Amino acid sequence: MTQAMPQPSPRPRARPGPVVRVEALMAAKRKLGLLTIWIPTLGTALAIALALAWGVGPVEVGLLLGMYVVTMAGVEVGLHRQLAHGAFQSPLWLRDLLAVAGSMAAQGRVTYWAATHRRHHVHSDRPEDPHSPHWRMGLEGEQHMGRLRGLWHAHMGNMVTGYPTNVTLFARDLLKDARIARIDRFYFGWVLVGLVIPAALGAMFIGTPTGALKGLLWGGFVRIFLVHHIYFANGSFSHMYGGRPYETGDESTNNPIFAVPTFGSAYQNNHHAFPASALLGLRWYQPDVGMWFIRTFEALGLAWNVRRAPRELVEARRVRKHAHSREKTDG
Amino acid sequence: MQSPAAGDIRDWMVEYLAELLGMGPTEISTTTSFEVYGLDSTAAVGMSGDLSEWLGLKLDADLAFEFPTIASLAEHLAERVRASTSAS
Repeated sequence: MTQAMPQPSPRPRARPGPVVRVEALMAAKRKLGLLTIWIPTLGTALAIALALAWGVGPVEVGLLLGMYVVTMAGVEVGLHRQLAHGAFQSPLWLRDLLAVAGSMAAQGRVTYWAATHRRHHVHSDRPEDPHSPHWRMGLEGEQHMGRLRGLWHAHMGNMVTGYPTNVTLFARDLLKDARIARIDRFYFGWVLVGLVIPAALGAMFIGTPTGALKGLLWGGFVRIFLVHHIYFANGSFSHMYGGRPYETGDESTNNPIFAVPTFGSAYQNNHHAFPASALLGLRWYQPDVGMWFIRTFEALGLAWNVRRAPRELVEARRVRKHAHSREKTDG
Repeated sequence: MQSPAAGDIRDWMVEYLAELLGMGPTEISTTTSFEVYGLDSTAAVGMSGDLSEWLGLKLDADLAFEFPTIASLAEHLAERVRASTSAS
């Protein structure tokens, strides 16, 4: 690549790929990925260290929970169901508010998040999947991973070693949206706002300068850390462990352990069977917090065209009446 | 010697953008800025990566910002190809 070749090859097919294999962009992604992983991790370590001396008060717990709910709803209801899949429509102010809350979760810009998620659906558990625990695109080509390596890659490793997604190919509808573009230009600002809000509330409720620090740590860094690890379990654990009532052509599972904290997204097998459905908890015993939000919006007239997988299809396509964990032999 | 001329590179980019944007090749104008089509930086950088692979040139990742239309970028690349083939 450094030496110009004298004879350029004949004209190749003009076909844009799902990922961008250009070192400059890969390096930028690697750097952002490392910061995204390490800053909340170190913040959480500091929070725990200080908690040993100070204890953890109700304000810290409240800010952690409150900011968790706001940003998890932003990711799951806003970025995931509404923007990546178009599962429902809402007034633009509500859509944008959810997108901003989702941006505070520090999982990437809205367009990048949605594009990468759509790429995950198009290439689910194939090498082009951005975060499969089974296959990845390595520097030397397609690579099947063992269990532990695969889990790590799907969980977080992909933020550092994976190829960047071709956003135009997967999210040109969102790129044309000027309001989303404005939100994305301020991405780091939103992450910062997500830290400043709990810090300010901490100072207010505790009434001392250390209150601001406690708010920053628990409502900010610990919250980002938890939302990261719990949400990224969708790509890692919920594509390896759990029931598979639907034949989806990938390894997605329904993982009840993460169902409530992911606001329903851990029902990955349901989701891959009916990707555009606003409802992910397809059975009565599958709590779907994300859908509770959407139903509330709907009742208030703030959500319409809510897409639900047809009941008959939900039943007819169920291939296994009882979900069993399928052991893989090649892990 | 069959090094690609500006016309070949232009045709390739029209096809590439049509595929990328889900449009017909006839809807792609060679003199309209990439930005107007809503091409984001990952796709623009990706295209310059694919071009550099084809043409055997080391291209800057942000070339599509320097030459923001198909016509101007193709012109520039054809010149680079000419320069590199005559130099070797």
